[in-house]
Amino acid sequence: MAFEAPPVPRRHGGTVTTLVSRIGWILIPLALWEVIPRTGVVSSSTLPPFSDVTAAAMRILGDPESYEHISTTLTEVLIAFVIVVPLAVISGYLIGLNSYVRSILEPIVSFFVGVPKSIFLPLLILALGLGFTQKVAFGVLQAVFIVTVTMIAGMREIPDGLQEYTRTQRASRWQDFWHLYRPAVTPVVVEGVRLGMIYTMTGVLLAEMYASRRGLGQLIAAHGTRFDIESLLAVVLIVAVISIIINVALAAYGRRVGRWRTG
Amino acid sequence: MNEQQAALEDAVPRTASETIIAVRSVTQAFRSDKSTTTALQNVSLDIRSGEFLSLVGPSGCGKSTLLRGLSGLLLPQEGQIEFRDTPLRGPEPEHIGLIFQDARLFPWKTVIDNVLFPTVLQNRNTAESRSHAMELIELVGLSGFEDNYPHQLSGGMKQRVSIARGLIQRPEVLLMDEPFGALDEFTREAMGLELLRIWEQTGVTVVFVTHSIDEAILLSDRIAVMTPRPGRLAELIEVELDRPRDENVVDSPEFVRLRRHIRDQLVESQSGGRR
Ligand SMILES: Nc1ncnc2c1ncn2[C@@H]1O[C@H](COP(=O)(O)OP(=O)(O)OP(=O)(O)O)[C@@H](O)[C@H]1O
Ligand SMILES: [Mg+2]
Repeated sequence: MAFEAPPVPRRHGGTVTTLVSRIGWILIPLALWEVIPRTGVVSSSTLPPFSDVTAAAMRILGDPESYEHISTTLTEVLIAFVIVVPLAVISGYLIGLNSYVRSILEPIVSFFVGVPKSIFLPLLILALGLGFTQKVAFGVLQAVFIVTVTMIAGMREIPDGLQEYTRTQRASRWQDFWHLYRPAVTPVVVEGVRLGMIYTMTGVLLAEMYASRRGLGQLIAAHGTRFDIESLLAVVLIVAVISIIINVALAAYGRRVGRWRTG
Repeated sequence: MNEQQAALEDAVPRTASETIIAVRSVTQAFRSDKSTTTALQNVSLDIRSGEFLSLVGPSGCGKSTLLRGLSGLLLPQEGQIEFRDTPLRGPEPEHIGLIFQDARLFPWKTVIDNVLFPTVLQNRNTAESRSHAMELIELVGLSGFEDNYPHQLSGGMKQRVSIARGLIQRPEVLLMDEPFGALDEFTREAMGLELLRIWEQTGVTVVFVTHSIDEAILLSDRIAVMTPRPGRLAELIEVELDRPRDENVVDSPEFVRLRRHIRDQLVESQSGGRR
């Protein structure tokens, strides 16, 4: 044959070298965080060294009072999330099902993705007061549009011709949903949900920081007003670790359900 | 239950001349804003139980439209299509299978799960259907690939899976719309001969759409030659070549004669259409 097969693109990730370099890229900034305050280039009251912050984080985690804050935040995030996912998946499904409906509603939903949700926070407080409901509502508001948009996009992922095939098999509407739409959109939706999780988390923390009596966001704000930078950074560290764990778990799940796309 | 429905349910023994699908004066036109395309004009055709029938003709002559009609996906505007003397009102997946040019497999299902899909829809995914699926996978030459995903298969292999899936419900009729159109010439010929073997083993009636005159002669008992604008049935040709056939039959005098005859038919209809 006159043509050579194109080289197979090399997939990144998985090899030992990439793993080592990834760990390196995490360790280097942490090392700098440790060294710079100790050398005195930046005063350690402005930026306490990493080891001190870690120790403070451990102290906070050991304090029973902290659990109330952590569980408050996680409960709010979880409830918001349990509302967002079915709401967004069902509305995305209904919007994406019909091309006419989609052409009208998709731009509107996209428009709301672009609106900064924080401007509605004072309004939500007026409507719902301070507390649990308002935090959850803000978390939902942050995430629901972006997840809906990914669901609508996911509906376009359905391979051409499969709808006609299931029609030749006399599949019912429910069978179409279960055997065709659901598996086709799941990988995309999990990706959207991963994004949505970040937004929900942001929403809840922001609402707590703005005005609240409990929660990790409130803790960060309180330490801030007391200029207790070490404790502040310690809570930031805790929040970062929690969200990284959730994120990595969802990404791994997404890869598992999306295996058929690449192998 | 009337007699016709009873006939549908009872397995009727096949004889060579029995009609399984009857196309009766079917006309189908597609209207757009500016023009009307008559995809089929007054087409009548009796498809015999157990035969291998090919539809040939230039692009746009209505082959796919006719096949969609035979599958029950499209109900003709005029005339009707009868399956065992009962007018078709929609797809009959248990009796009539349809194979598309692209295999249309579920990318998230393995080979075996794709083949079993029709039985899952019917809530009949039993151990028996599983062993039947394994037999069919062997029949199409894919043993050992049961647990592969479609993206791990070549185009020809995917089309084999789609044929196995088309046979899982033991349909009486298999409709195929240019099933090997996307394959290279060598694979195409091999797949054609393999299809003949499957057809002989299962006794299924095959209606096969192709652009290739040679492919039609090699495979068929009869060839329906169609001409475009408006889509019409120009001629029905009996292919009197001995079976089993192999690739050498292409050089026989009868094959060469048929090839010239069909080509003349199509050329004539083209120049006739340009007047
Ligand atoms: N759904 C449709 N809407 C409008 N026109 C259609 C539709 N389906 C088919 N046609 C028209 O009907 C005519 C016959 O189409 P058909 O697909 O049956 O041809 P074909 O013989 O299968 O062609 P090919 O060999 O290219 O597949 C064409 O002119 C086509 O444009
Ligand atoms: Mg066609």
